Amino acid sequence: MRLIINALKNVWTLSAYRWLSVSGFALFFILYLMTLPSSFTGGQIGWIALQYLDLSMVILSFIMALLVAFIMTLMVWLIRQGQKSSKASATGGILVGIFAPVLCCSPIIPIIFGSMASLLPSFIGSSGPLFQGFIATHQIELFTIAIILLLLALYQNAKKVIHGNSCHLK
Amino acid sequence: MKKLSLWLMLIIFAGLTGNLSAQELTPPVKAPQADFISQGSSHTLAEYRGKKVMLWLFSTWCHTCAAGVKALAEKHKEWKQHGLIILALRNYNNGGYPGADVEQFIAHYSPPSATRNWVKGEASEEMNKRYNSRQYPDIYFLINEQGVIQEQGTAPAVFIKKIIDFARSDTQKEAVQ
Repeated sequence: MRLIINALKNVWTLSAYRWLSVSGFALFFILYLMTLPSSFTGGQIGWIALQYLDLSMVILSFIMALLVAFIMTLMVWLIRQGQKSSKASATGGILVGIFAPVLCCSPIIPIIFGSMASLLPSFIGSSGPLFQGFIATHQIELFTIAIILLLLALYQNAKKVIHGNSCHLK
Repeated sequence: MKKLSLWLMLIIFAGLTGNLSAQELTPPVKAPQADFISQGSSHTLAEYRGKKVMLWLFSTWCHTCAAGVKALAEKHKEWKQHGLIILALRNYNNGGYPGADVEQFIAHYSPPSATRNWVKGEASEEMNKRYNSRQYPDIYFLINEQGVIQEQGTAPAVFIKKIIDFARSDTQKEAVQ
């Protein structure tokens, strides 16, 4: 925790990175607020989905947007310093958070699996509903995984900010 | 990366060709006959000829379907006033994923008084093949008194206005004209 706070303090000495965090948070907060309730609207995102927002979705959107904003800020800092950032966990966390509600109850998966069934009919044909049903009934677990991935990404990038390109002596 | 692109192109191609060969019910089209189970006995769509029907196939693990039950239940006075019959049928085998039975599911999301007149049951395998060949979590069909599908869609909570318009429409008068 201290590592993450110190990394952010380091990066936030420049106002540009503070603004990046704020704008990133605002962008992703709105994005999550609009996508999380889409599981109630067959995947439709936008104003129509907002009426299904509840307190738990707002809190989840806040937490995920905050984590993404911090990660994004650290990654940009690392890239500008010429260092490699840790992308995989961040990407996984962001994608799970956005796609889980959209895919759960929309026609997207049936259409994709229906297309794939042309190639592998016996296996793929009945897999669509299983996949979709699993997503719909395991949303809490999926969002927990998303948050864990984001925390992991935050830790990995914070470590790189603090330790930089330090050499390891054998 | 090249292999992934090739697979993606194959899938898209298969999807396009698959779409062309898939049986689609594109309105306006005569509603195919099919049966379903309700209250322990078999029924057919033909029994509802001469009435305005909303045939709704859904799965009980689906959040969109829960929102649909609430939205339709809220407008129960509208359906009663205009004589719209709601056939709320669970997809055959619940769309392949376990879940509550249809009565429990509907009772969980709406007061009993709002859904008393709904016909609740489970679609036959044949009905699912004809009406929901793509295995959508939910799909609805608005069928007029002449047995013609006028509209189809998913997520009735989102398209509640279309359903209200259908309920209010005088389709018998339109058929004569």
